[in-house]
Parts: sequence; C-alpha cells; structure tokens
Amino acid sequence: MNSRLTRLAGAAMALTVSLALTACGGSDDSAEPAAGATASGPFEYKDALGKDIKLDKTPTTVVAQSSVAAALWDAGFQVKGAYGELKPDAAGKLSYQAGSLDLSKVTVIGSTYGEFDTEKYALMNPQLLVDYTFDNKALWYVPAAQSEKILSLAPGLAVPGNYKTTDEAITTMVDLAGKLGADTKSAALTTAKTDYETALTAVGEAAKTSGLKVAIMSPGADSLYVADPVQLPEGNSLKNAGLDMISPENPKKEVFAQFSWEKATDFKGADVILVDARTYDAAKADLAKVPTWANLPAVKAGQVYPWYAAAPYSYQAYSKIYSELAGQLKTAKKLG
Amino acid sequence: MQPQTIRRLGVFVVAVAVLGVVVVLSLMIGRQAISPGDVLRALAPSAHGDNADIVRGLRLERTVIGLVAGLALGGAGALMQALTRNPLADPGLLGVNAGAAAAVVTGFAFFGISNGFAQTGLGLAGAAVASVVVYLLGSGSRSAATPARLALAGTALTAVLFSYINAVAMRDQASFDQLRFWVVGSVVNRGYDRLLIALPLIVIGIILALLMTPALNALALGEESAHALGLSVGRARVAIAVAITLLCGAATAVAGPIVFVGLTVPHVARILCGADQRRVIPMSMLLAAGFLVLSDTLGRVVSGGAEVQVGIVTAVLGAPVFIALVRRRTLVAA
Repeated sequence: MNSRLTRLAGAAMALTVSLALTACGGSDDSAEPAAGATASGPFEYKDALGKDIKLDKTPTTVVAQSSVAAALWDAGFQVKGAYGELKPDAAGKLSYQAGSLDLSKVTVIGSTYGEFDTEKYALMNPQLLVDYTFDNKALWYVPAAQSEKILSLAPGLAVPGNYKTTDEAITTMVDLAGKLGADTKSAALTTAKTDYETALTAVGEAAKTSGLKVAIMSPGADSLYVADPVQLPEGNSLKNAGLDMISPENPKKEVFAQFSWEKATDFKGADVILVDARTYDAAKADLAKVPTWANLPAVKAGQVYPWYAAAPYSYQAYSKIYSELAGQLKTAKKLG
Repeated sequence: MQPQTIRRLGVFVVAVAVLGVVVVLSLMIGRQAISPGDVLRALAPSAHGDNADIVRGLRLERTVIGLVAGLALGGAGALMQALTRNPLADPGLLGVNAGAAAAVVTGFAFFGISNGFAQTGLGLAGAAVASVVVYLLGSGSRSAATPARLALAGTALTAVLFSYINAVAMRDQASFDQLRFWVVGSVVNRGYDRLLIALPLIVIGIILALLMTPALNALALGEESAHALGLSVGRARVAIAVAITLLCGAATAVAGPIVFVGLTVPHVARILCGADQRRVIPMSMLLAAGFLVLSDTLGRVVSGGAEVQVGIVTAVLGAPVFIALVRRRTLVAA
C-alpha cells in the first residue's frame, strides 16, 4: 500500500512538473547555467553498443554511473543523478571512484553494485542514461533484471569501459560532455589537461632515472590476481610514458590472470607493486600472514602503492593519480 | 591374536599409512615445481627463501588445516549418520553450516567485524546456537528428540537462516564478498591463529565422539533395546549432538562449508570396518582427513589456470563415489 501511495504521489508530481514545464516554455532549463545552457540540440551520439542515439533537444536531465558521472563532472557537465559506488565510508567520505561528484547536487539512484531505484529514477523524468559497457552487450551497473524498465524510461548511452590509454578514455568523456553542452574549452579544463600531461611526464622521468619494474596486482585470500598492463588504459599510458611494467606470462587478453599463491615468488622482480585500492586496505592484515606475499621484495621494502582501479577518466583525477605515483616512484628504490 | 583382530588392525595400519602418503604428496605437489630434496630442506626450521615460504608457509599450513578439518568432518559425519540412523545424514543437516554463516554475515554487516580471528569465533558461536535451537525445536512438546524430528528441525532452520543470509548479503557488495567464503570451503591461507581457537574444540569433540561409540552401538539396536541395555538414551543423544556440533562447527569455522566429506566417507568406513561404531568413527576420521588433503592437493594442479578450492574438489570427487555407493548396495546407517 505504501509503495502504491508513493507511486501515486510520484505520478501526480510528474504531472505537475510537466505541466509547469509546458507553461513556462522550458525557461527553467535555460536558467540553469551548470547543466549546459550552450547547446540546445539536436543531440546525436553513436554509442559503444553501435546504437545511434538521436534526441531533438540536448538532454539536461542525465543520470550516469558514478565513475562516468564523475568523469563528465570534471569535464564540465553536471549530471542530475548518479548510481554506482556512492556509499560514503565511516568518515563520511566517498570512494575515489566518485571523483569530485557533489552529492548535494546529485540524486543518488543507487549506492552500490546491483542497486538501482527505478522509481526514484522515473520521478526524475530522465532524458538520458550513461554507463560503461565492458562486454559490448550490457550497461555495466544497470541491474539486468531491471534493465528493460530502466531503458524504457530514457535511452541508455554506452561509453566503452576499456580503452587503449587514459588519453583516449578522457578524450571520449570530454567529447561526450561537450556534446551534452559542457564548455570543453574552459580554462579549468585546459589547466587540468596541462597538469595531467605534466604528471605523466614526471612519471616518465622518475621511471627513466630509477629503472623500476612495476607490477599491478589485486591480492586475494585464495589467489593472487595479476593485471596485464597492456589491457588497462592506465597501464598503456604509463608504459608509453616510459615506465617498465611487468606482464604476467602467457597473457590471455584478459585484465587479470589468477595465480596460486605459490606462484607469487615469480614476481620477485617487481620493485614496486601497485595494489587494487578498492580492496587492499581491508585485506592488508590477512595478506601480511601470507609468506609468499610478505616476503616479496617490494612488499618487504614497503614499496606497495595504491592502484586506483575504476577511477573516473578525467584530467583532474588522473593528474592527481599520476603525480602521486611520480612522487612514489621518485622515493622508491631499485631492489635486488 | 585372532586372525580377525589382525585383519582389523591391518585395515587401520593401511589407513594411517595412506594418510601419511597423502600428507607427503600434499607437501610435494603444488603449482610451483619443487624437487623432493628441496622440499625436505625447506621443511627445516632454519630454512629461508622461496621454497621455505612455499613449502613451510603455504603447503604445510593448508595440509595441517586440511588434516584437522578432515578429521573433524569425518567424525561428525559418521556420528550424524549413526545418531539419526539416516544414511543420507550430513553435518549440514543440524543447521551447523547455516548457523556459522549467519553469525559471520551478521557480525560483518551490522557490527563491521571483518577480522578473521573474530569471525572464526563468531562462526563457532553461530554453529552452537543453531544446533541448540534445532535440538529444542526437535524435542518440543512431550516427546523426546527423535532422529527424524531433529533432521526436520535442522532442515527448517537451515532454510530460514539461508533466507536471512541472502537478505543481508544482498544489502551491499562488501557483505556479499564476506559471504563468498561461506559458500565454498577452502583451506588456503586460513592462518594458524584460526586453527588455534578451533583446535581445543575439535580435540574435545573427538574425545567425546570416541567415548560415545559404545552408546552408538547400543542405539543402533533401537531405542527400546538401548534402554534395556542400561543406556540413558536422552543423555547419550545430547552428548553425541554436542560432539557433532563441536566437530562440524569448528571445521566449518576454519575452512568454510566442505560438502560430501561427512556424507560419503562414513559409508566407505563401514565397508572397510563393518558396523561396529568403535571402529567406524575413527576410521571415518582417518579417511576423511586423507580425502580432504588429497582433494586439496588435486585442486592445486588439476586446472590449467588458477587453483580450485577444496570445497569444489570434494564435491566433484565425492558425488560420483556417493552415487556409486548408493547404487551398489543398500545403505546401512549404523
């Protein structure tokens, strides 16, 4: 009964809002400077699923997965709603995956994987949904069971989940933000881009002087997962900058190769290990008890730094990530 | 000595020898090829380096945990089948696995307990509470707890608890990750500290189990005959149920739910030893320990890529053996 009431109230509200909108002739939209007053349409985009998305007017009520939303936000387009990894930690802080999203300006539709409040979404009168696709079939964080309903409310736009380099990834996001009406020539974005390039150069310089070998890993209780940098945009960008990245043997064109903990000793050549920032802190104490992990030279030397997996593809986010890494690489020592 | 006694003793000697071979294999075989000589050298307490990390650090630990968990599960399974006089009885039937998992998931989701040591304690407590509840449900009203009622109560509680676990686990990703371990058992990197809290309980469970074997023999004759033989049926049942809970709860808390060990192994033990529980229970423990350690060893090398968890290997090996047993002969419970 309760949900029926909410739905009724929602329908009534939606009706009022749309009446108000027609009455004002959409003047509400142009009064909102953040949501891209420049472009009014039409909006056209060929997405990663091969779908041509055509809208008469540039959508203003856009809802996106948190990483995508954060990337668009940094590129100058503010989404109205977001879903994804948006649960604050004990200190009330959002994960790095949410970038600089300001939740006071964004409606949260879901705050973890598998969570999507379809009713709340419908009440927003969404005009466009944006998410990654990793399999070229489905939208990453849109729950399969609800997807039909969700996609009937507004078209779903898929941006690729994987890219050759972070440059390519960020360009894609900036391009989309521009099409949605953001000012992609803004001074802030230009500065961010310069910072990003400077940070990547700094990584290259640190790499050249030290000759450090770097591996990307996601250590679990039962097995060790080693990422193949060639399959990661940041891996390729770092490689191109001159960093010596370790690939697992016989790579299978997958991001992760799963290894028995006995095989961890094969990675003794790594001077620096970048670990999955999503899970490392929680697993740290248990990992210290795994002898083949604890005795890896990089672990012993304390040269284990976070790998910000699934960080938003923006110049701002990655200039921070790369300059942090450049600093770490400068202090890290060549081992063995 | 009677020839029969010699034969019985021989079966045990062979079982212990097989267990020894399995343990040696478990130390020798793994994803990283290490020669037998190097394995022996790595076992020395003074040894350091990669081989020591792998053999003494990883393989020895998982072997010890597999051994202890196997002993406990084999004992619990045999006790369970004898107590309920049901050849299909499994330690999971008393709600022990579900109780352990429910306690761990609750602790994590509502109180943020993610420390492995604390989780083992929670798992044990959950297993104990679940079996007490099952016992109370099974022995409600005027009649005593009969095997069938216990099994029904256990099944019902398990269903309730798993609904609860799913509801909690679906709340968020982190809880779901915690639950994963409670779906498939594993002996990798469990840590000796977890074993340490479980070990005293397993030792008490094993002693209690061995003490109760004569009572089990009496119970096999039926409740009335057992009574006539001077056995306090109710008290014996409680003692056996306590042993099962200790053994199964502790094993589950250390290694997660491992299926088909407690179900299949006691049948093999009865084929080898006959119906006398004084021999079936210890034989079942020995065989289960060997089976578990062997399954874990196989799981390390059986696939081309990553290792396969022991909980999956025991199911893959145990299920066909169990089906073959069921088809071959009428199953005897006690």
